[in-house]
Amino acid sequence: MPLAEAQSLAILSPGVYATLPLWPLVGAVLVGLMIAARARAERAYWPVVLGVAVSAALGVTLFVDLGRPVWSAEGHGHGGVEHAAPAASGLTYTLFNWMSFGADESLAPAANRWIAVNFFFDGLTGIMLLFVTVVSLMVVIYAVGYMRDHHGHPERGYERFFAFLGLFVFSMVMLVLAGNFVLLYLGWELVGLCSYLLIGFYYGKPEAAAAAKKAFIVNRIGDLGFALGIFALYQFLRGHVQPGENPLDYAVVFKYAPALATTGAGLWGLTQADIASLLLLCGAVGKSAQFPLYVWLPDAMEGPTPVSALIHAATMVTAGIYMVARCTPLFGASPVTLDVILVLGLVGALLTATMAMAQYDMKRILAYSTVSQLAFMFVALGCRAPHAGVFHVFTHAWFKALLFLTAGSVMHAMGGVIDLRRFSGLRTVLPTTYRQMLIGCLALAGFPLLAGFWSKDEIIHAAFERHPAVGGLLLVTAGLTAYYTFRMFFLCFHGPRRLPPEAGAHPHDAPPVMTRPLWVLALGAVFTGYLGVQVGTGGKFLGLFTPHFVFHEYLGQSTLGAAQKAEGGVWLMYLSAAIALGGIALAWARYGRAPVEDPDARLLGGLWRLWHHKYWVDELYERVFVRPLRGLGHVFFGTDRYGVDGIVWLIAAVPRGAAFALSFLQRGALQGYALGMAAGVALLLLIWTWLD
Amino acid sequence: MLIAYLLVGAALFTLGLIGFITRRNLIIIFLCTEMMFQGIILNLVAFGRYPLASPAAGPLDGQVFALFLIAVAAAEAALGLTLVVLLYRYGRSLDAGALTALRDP
Repeated sequence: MPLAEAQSLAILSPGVYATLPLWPLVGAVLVGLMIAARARAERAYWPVVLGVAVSAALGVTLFVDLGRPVWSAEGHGHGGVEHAAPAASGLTYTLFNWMSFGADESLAPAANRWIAVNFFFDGLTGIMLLFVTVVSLMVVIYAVGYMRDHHGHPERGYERFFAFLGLFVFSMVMLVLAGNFVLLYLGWELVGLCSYLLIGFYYGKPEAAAAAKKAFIVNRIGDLGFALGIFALYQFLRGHVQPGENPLDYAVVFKYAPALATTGAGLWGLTQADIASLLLLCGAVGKSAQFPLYVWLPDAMEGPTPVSALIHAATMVTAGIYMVARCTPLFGASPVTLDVILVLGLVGALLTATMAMAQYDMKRILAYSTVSQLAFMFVALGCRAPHAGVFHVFTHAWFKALLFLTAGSVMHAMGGVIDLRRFSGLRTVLPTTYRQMLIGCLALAGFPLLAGFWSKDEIIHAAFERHPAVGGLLLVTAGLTAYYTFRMFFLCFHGPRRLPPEAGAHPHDAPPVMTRPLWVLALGAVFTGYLGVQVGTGGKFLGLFTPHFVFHEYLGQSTLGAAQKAEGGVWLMYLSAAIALGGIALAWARYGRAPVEDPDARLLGGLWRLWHHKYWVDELYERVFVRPLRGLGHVFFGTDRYGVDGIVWLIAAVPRGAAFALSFLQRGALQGYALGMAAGVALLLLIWTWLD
Repeated sequence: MLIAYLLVGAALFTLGLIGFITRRNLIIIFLCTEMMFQGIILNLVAFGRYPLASPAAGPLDGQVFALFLIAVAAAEAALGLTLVVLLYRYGRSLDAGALTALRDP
C-alpha cells in the first residue's frame, strides 16, 4: 500500500512496531510453560510485566512517531487546528498473505484477493495503543500486589491470572492494530475469550461462573451481527474491488464506502452502507455494553478487580467505540445507523446512570457508570463527532481504571467487602486510597479542569449542535453522574468510622506496588485532557482554555478525517461545570455524613426501588429470552435424546431380536445339527434340480 | 459303467449319513463317518477311471486323491478315537444325546 509521505514512520520501522502484540503473548506463553513445568508461582508475573512493558514502550514511541506532523505544526503557535491536517490515510503494513478468496490463475499472486495479516497505522491507532498499553501495564503491576492475601502470599491461580492478562493485552493490541476486518474479528473474539476466562477466574464461585457465561453469550449475540456485517461487506464489495485490492482491508472498504451509500440493498429502502453498518453496530453494542446488551458488564464485576479495571473500564469495552470510530467513512455514509447509535446511546446513558444511583456495591456503581460513559461516547459517534467520542474514550480509560483499582484497594483492605452499607469513614484508614479515588471521582464527575470535564463537555457540545433535546438529556445524565459518583465516594470515605469484621484489626493502605501505578493513572486522570485543550491567554473558558488542540489534529490524520470544530457557546461549558459542581454539592448535602439509612431511598420511594432493581431488566430478559430459549434447548435435547437416538436404537434392535430368536436353535445336540445340515444340502440339491 | 460305481458310492454315503444321524453311540457314529468317507473315495476312484472332461487331468489323479483321503481318514480316526476315549472318561457315557454342554440359552 502506498502511504502519504507525511505519515511514514521514522523513529522505528513499521516492522518493529508490528512486534507490539508479540511481547505480551511471549510473556503469557512463558508463564504457561512455567505452569506446565510446575515452577514456583511467587515470581510468575515477571514475563508478563516485562512483555507488557516492552509493548507500552513501543506504544508510546508509536504515539510520538505518528504525531510528528502534529508536533512540528505545534511550533507555529496559536490555532494549530487551522493547519490543514494531512490527508486522511493510514499506513497498511502487510506481514504476509493469509487466506485467499479463491486464486485467479491469470493474475500474478500479488494481484489476487487476499485476507492478509496486515497492520494499520494512523492517528487513531496511535491514541488507542497509547492508553491500551500504558493502562494495561499499570493494571498488571497493580495485580502483582493485588492478587495476594494479607500476608503477601499469592492467591491460588496467581500465575494463571498473569498468563490470561498477557493473552488479553495481546488480543487487545491485535484488535487495535488489525488492518482488515477479519483480523479485527479475530482480536474481537480473542478479547471476548479472555474476558470469559478472567471473569470466571474464581470458577469455583457459582456467581463468577454464571457471570462469565453471561458475558460470553451476550457478546456472542452481538458478534453474530458483527460477523454477518463482515460477510455483507464482502458481498457488497466484491463487484467493486480492482485486482490487487483485498476486499476487507480498511483502506479498500473506506475507499468504496461512498459507492455503498448510493446502492440500494433492496430491503426497506436501506442502502448497502446502512445494512453493513447496522450489522457491524450489533457487534459494537455487545462489546461496548450498550443498551440493550449491556447486562453482561455489571455482572462481570465477579472477576478480580484488576480485570474489571482492565477489561470492563479501560480497554476491552472501548473496542466497540473504536470500531465505529475506525469505520467513520462507512458509518458516516449511513444516516440511519447514526440515528440508531444516537438513540441507543441516549437511552443507555440515562438508563444506566439512574441504575447507578441506587446501588450499594462500589464496583457495580462503577460498572454502571462505565456503561453510561460508553453511552456518552455512542452519542458522540451518533452526532458525527467521533473525535469527541475518541477523546472521551481516551480520558475515560485513565480515570475509570484509577477508580476501579482504588475500589480494589478498598476491597483489599476491607477483606473482600465492597458493600457501601457495611463500612464508612475510611478517610483516615486509607489516606492514599482516599486521595487517589478523589481524583478519579472528580474526573468522572466532570469537575472543571480535570480530564473528564474536557472530553465530556465536547460531547455535550456536539449533542447540542445535533439537537438541544439531545444535549439536554446528556446534561441531566452528567448531573446524575456527578451525584452518584460522589454518593459512593462519601458513603465510603466520610462519616463515622465503621469497619466490617472481615477487615481485621488494622486495615491499612495498599503496598507501593499497588499505589504507585495508581499515581500514574491519577496523573493521566488530571492531565490527559490537556492534549485536547489549548492553554493560553485569550481562551474561551475562564479566559485560559480553548477546546480542540493537538489531540484533534492528531486524530485528524486518521480514518476519522479532520475534526469539525464545535463552535458552541461558551455558556455551555460554564453550564456543564455548574451542573457537575451542583451534583457534587448535592451529594455532599445528602451523603456527606454517610448516613446508615439511605436518604434517597426514603425520598424517592418506588422510583428508587425501581432503580435499585435495575428496572427489572435482568428479570425481564430472563422471562422473555432466557427461559423460552432454554425451553427450546430442552426440546432440541429431547429430540436428540429420544428422536435421533431412538431411531438408532431401533435399527440396532432388529438384528439383536433376530439373533435372540435364532439362538434357541443352538441346543448343543450334535446329531440335530447334522440333520439340519443334511436337510439343507438336500433342499439345495432339490432347488438346483428344479431350477435346471 | 461309471453310473454303477457312483450309485454304490452314493449308497455307502447315504447309509453312513443315516447312521450318523440316528445312532446314539459315539463309536458307531464315528464308524458311520468312516463309511461316508469310503463312499466318497469310491466316487473319486471311479472318476479317475472314467474321466468326464479335462484332457489336462492325468490318468492317476483320482487314485492319488483317493490315497490322500485314506491317509486323512486314518489320521482323523486316530484323533477321533482319542476324543471318544476322553469323552468317555469325562462323562462315563458314550451317548451323543447327553453331550449338550455347548448349547446357547
